[in-house]
Amino acid sequence: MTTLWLYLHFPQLHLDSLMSQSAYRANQALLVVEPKRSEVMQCNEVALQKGINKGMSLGAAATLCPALNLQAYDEQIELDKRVEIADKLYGLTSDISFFSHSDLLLRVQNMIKLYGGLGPYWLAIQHQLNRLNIAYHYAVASTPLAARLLALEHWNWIGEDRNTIQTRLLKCKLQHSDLDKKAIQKLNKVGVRQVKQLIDIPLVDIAKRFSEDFAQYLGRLQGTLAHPVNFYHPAPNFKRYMELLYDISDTHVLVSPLCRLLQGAEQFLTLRDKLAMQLVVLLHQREHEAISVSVGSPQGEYRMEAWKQLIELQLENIDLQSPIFGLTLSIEQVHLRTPDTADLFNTQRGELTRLQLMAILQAKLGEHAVCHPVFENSHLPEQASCHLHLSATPESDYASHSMRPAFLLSEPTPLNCKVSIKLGPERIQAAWWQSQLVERDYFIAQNQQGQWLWVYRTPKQEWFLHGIFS
Amino acid sequence: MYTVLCMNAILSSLQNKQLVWRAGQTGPKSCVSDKSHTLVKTGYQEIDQALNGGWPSVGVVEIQSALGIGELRLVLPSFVSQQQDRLLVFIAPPWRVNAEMLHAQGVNLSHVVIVNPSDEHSALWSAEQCLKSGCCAAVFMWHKQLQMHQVKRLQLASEQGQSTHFIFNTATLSQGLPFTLSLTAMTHADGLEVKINKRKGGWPTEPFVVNMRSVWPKLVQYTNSEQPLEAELHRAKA
Repeated sequence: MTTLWLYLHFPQLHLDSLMSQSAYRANQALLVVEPKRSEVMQCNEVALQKGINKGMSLGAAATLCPALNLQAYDEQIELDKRVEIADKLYGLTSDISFFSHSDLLLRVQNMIKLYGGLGPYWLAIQHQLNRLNIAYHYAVASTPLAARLLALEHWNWIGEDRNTIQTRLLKCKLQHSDLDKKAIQKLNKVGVRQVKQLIDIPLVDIAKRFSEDFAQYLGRLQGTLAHPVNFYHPAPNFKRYMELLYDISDTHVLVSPLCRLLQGAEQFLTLRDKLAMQLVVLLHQREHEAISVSVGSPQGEYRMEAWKQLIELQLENIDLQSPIFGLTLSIEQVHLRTPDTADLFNTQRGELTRLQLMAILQAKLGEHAVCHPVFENSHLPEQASCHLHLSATPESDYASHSMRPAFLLSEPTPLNCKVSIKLGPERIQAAWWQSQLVERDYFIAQNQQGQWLWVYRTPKQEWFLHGIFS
Repeated sequence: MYTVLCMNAILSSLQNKQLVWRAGQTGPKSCVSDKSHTLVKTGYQEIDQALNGGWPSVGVVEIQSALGIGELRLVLPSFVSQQQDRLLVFIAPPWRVNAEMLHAQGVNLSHVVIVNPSDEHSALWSAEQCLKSGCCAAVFMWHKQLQMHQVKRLQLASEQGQSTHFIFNTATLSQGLPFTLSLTAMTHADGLEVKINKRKGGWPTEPFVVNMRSVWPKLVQYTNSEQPLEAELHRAKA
């Protein structure tokens, strides 16, 4: 089977990732500027209408349109955005490779059979790309470099006819190729401007005059030399950064940009049929250390809505020291989803499970405000009953005394009211094997208000209040 | 005679279509035959009688009493048997809840949650969340001052999640709040003296005595014949 490659060229990924944010206003000119040379690299529709072009200096752009929204170009943002696109496309096509710093190369020939032709395959890819709202140019060819050259020429044509591709390739201008700039200038001087003219020159002559890379490029372009390609594998973990259009200092406003990240996380989890146990949101502060917000759901959750609710509760408790300029969302603990086996005929109406409720309470009140009571095998009442953090699984199957108060004081306090003894004594003598011997005679007593108290007497005849029956 | 029969027929047909509202009907119209009408046996004959069967399984119940006179004993046992797989939640208890007592009562401790909120506002918030979650059988909360809109919100939440909310209140100034049931409990030699202040679909009652002698023989006053030594105790020198 002959090879067929589809090349996707994204001319303005940084701009597109800015425009996809909900806070983007379409009526304002937005420029992405190369910071060193202060040159316009990418500009939106409004800027184009005002006469601003790529490659223009910032000063010239500012005279054309005084109200400019500027962003310094950051290659990392384009790389991240490209990974995001590759993640989306991975559901449709198997072999994806990163090319250049912002482009994608797809191997098509092994997908044609699955889709029943190049047309339906391209339709699926195109549909996904259009949903992402990004600008792109595309072309197919039998070698990766040929497809790249055609896409950079903005050919935007899809078809399997090799002759059409070949004739169009021969017409390509050398200035769009990846050849050395000086070499192109040299060739232009002698009248070689198109690929066809270059190919007509015997390879031996070219090898004499130009570097080895030059010959290798030509060989790969024509398919006479092999071009090894590394394919992309989606990351096993989800971690995504988003730069905000403007600094945000109110935590309520942060929720809507966060939703976009959560949407990505939901898609990540749905595709893999997994549940996340914990999300970590990093709030990057302009002048201070980033704040890390970690949200847990003991049951595991994949839906954006559920996570949004939990994160909102946490954000309420956070005081920002300086405005936020970026957000990072990462999924920490993941496990495979096992469907709930709920009874279809159970008429219970609530929408939450026990673990979900615990997650909500913990998110708002803090992990230590919510606990389970645990009954330990101990003779001392204060040790027998303790409160444990929820993650522990209480196991208690010991014999318990029937006459024990509903509440225990955290510390026994000296008894300082008049009581009348109703039952007792019950002697508890424990911890003699440790350094401190505990010897108490417990009584059930009632005070004058009618409260039922649990009091004890020490061998020194001191009386203490330890619990309250209720 | 004929007209009376006819009226009855019309009435019962209207009633079947749920077009007639009766004062004794507490839940919303759509769930007349549903859980909102089921009652939870209290385990005490006197209260069952006064409440026509038991605690409402949905709604907000206020218990006005001093702390520690037996108010928890009044409600806890009936919900232990009803608990099934659902949670019992204690919100803002005045002291530490004793796990040994719950265990002795037969409560599954992994189904008990204790919430210690930092302030009253978050206590109410947690109560609402627990009630409407649908996974709680009963929510016990110790709270002092409630307002009309707060009670209404809790009512709605308990209807949504089909659970009962018990509020233990030491203040006695909550007249006129829309509780499903409001009781006052006072200490008594045989157990508790209970008065129904207000009740949806029923009348307030005169104070009556709930006899706890059979269930809690050790936590009632002894009668003169069986009274053991009684010692008056004063504060010991520490």
